[in-house]
Amino acid sequence: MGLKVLQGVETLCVARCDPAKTGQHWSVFLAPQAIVPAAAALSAAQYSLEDILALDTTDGLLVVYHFNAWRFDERIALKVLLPREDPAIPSITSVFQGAQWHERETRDFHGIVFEGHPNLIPLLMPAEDVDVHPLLKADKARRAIRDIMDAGEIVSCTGEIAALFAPPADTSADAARTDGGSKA
Amino acid sequence: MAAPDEVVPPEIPASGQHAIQPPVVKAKPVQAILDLCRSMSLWPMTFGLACCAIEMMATGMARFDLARFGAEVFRPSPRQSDVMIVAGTVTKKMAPAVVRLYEQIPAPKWVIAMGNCAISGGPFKIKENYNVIEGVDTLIPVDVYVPGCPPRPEGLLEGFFQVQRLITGKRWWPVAEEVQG
Amino acid sequence: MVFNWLHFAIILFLVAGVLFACGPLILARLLAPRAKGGDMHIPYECGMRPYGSAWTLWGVSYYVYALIFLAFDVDVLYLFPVSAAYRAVRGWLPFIEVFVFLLFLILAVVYFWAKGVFAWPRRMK
Repeated sequence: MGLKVLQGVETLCVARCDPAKTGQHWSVFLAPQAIVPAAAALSAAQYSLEDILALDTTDGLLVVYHFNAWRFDERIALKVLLPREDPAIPSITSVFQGAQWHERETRDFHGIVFEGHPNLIPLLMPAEDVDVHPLLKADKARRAIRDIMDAGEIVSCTGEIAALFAPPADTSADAARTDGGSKA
Repeated sequence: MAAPDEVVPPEIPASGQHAIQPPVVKAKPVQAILDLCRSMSLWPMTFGLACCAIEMMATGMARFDLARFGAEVFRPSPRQSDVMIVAGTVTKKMAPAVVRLYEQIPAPKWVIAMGNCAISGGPFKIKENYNVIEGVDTLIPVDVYVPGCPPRPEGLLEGFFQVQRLITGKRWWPVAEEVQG
Repeated sequence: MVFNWLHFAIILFLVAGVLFACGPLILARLLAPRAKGGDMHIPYECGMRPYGSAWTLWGVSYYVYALIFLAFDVDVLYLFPVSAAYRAVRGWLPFIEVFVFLLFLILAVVYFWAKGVFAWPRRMK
């Protein structure tokens, strides 16, 4: 019962989600090098790119790509976790030209460098604020990925991603957990 | 794919370079007549930047009709307008355009700052503000402030009457009575 | 110099026409305040700094139309003295002479018509 459209792409974690709660049918964690093959596979299967965004969490910067197959109801979220110092990920503009502005916006707000992007200059921020990344959070405001989203019904998962969603080892952090499936 | 954009850094002209010279003939009666004519045919420039633009459109439409009071047409070009209604949030990227358009309006000209964003940055005047100019009066001289988020069309009409009062010295239109009940 | 009321009327008409055009400009210069400096005098381009050249590509239909207009305008110029002097002539011969002149103009119009110049946008063959 795996995700057929991404067969042949190296995934780190594939999980079914509840579309009523999260709006996605599938949530797939990938390594940065796998994002372009995954985008190519989705483009070949005629999925549309809906959005590219990033989340600043205690586990790193999570870049989320939303895809939608309009001919039938299936929304897939590709998620790539990047380290916070020097976040770099290959750009999918060679596959989806429409990703140009989304990636520029994500660079503006989080400082993520999209390698291979033809024109990575500020889009929404003014030109003199090229190094200002407003959506990066202060240490106090950052949350962990397990607090922001559910793992979903895991189909296949590597250890590292599973560890992201495992409950924290010390019980004092349990009090900080909040419910809710909506992403921050 | 499209060619890469050039990042053109904005240039806000230094203050003091733009000046308004007074008229050659300063005779009071002549200027009074001209002021009356100007106040009764103030043509606004459409400068709707955000949500306040919707209310400005509503003021121009049938129910509230700004054209009754002289704003017959909203000119998109600054060369043909008298009053600039800054309706909406001014961001750092938009600031040079606001200043340039203000300077391109021929004298005499007036500015209405409509809505809280144009007056002081409005809901964006917070510590984490990274992109909003906190008040358009930091960029251009403002004559009338119309508060609200967004102000009702009646509010913008009142602001317009205040501009007319500034020009001619008196308010021409009756003040609305309190509505009871 | 003999004073002629007709000449005076024509000159007065000319002066009135010039005043009609220049009067508002002069009045505005005298009675209105003047904004100058800053970005007042750069071309208007929606608040952005003007970018690129104003000399852009135009459809060639404009050029061809203007060319034909110019040619026929000169022909009409030749016809002005003809029309002034025509009432003084008699007989059929002057008519035939003018008609021969006009015939060549008509042939030119037919040629351009067949070429498709008068269809806009141009579909010239």
